[in-house]
Amino acid sequence: MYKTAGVFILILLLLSGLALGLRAEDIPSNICERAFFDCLNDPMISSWAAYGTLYCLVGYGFCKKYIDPA
Amino acid sequence: MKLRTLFVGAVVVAAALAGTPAARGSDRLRHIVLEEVLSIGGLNEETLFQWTGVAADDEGFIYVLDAMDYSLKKFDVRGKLLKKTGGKGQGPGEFMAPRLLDGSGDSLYATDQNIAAIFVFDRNLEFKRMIPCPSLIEHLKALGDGRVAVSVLGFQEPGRILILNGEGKLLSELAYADKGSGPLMDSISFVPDGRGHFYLAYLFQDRVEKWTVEGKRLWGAKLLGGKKTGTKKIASFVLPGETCLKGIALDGRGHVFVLGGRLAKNPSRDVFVLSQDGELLTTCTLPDTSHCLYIDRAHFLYARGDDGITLKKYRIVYE
Repeated sequence: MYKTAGVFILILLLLSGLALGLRAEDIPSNICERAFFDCLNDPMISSWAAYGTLYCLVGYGFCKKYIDPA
Repeated sequence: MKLRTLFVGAVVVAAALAGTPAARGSDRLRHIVLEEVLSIGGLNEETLFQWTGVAADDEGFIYVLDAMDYSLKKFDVRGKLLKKTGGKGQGPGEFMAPRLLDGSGDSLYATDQNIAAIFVFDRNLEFKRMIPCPSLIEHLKALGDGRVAVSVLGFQEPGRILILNGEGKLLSELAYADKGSGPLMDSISFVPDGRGHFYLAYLFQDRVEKWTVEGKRLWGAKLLGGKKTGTKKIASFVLPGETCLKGIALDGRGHVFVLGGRLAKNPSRDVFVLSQDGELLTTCTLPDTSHCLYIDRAHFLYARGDDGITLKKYRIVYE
């Protein structure tokens, strides 16, 4: 009984760890890429549809030119 | 008689040799040195916080857009702050993300990253009006007579340079990019030469080009050995990773100055100097990384220092 529960908890932990790991890979670490990711996921900006995407792309271009460390 | 013929022949040969490219090469630009003549701002000052755009007029006044305090500033020839305007906001003359600046006549033209319009100020920094644009602006240059040229980013359209009058009416359009090059791959800086040509430097491609205003490509050159930017997949978008060429300027002697980006040997510091025909003449290296280059009508070059806290002004020494 305890053995089954232990295995079940272990599997749950492994699965959640795997999910967290995959999620971590989805979020970019570079400052401009992270800003673009956050911009796309901003509820207000995403409500602007295509213009919102354009808005995020322009921001990414300026970030790469002005802020991204050389 | 024989002697005279020999002499005339020698003169003809000498004249012909003097006209060869090798002989003309002795007059060619071989080397450029940048001598710092002015530094505005600094780590221990509160003059500039992160400048983005710069322009200078014929009297030596320097105008600077500062992204971190949402302002447009005017400095005298010695770098003393004379006036500041703007502020954070969306009212007339206010900025949320000031970026590009240029001047012509009595007008200064500024952009905000998030606004599809051009802010017009006079040289006393009084806000005058807005010029509407069809899309968000990537690059801007004043053309004189109240006209401006802007490159705009379309969502699925290839890159274009639009020439607008003072009311925002489209006068002409230069479609320079190929269809389907991918998001941001046709992002450019550009500079007009005042004689009907535009020089383009691609932010994410190793390409410099010269175009006529009518849309004819005259030449193209690679400055980084054809290096290609990497790509990054972010959400459903495949975006370019490293910058190739960050800025372009003309010096008034017909030389084209191009600032290398992250893929340059000295990232964001290497400056390539080309002839009007696209021949690489020489290179020089900025002391500090920069996001842009600006050359005024007196042949002074402006670039960034200390990540935008400092504005450096250099005399260009030709050797």
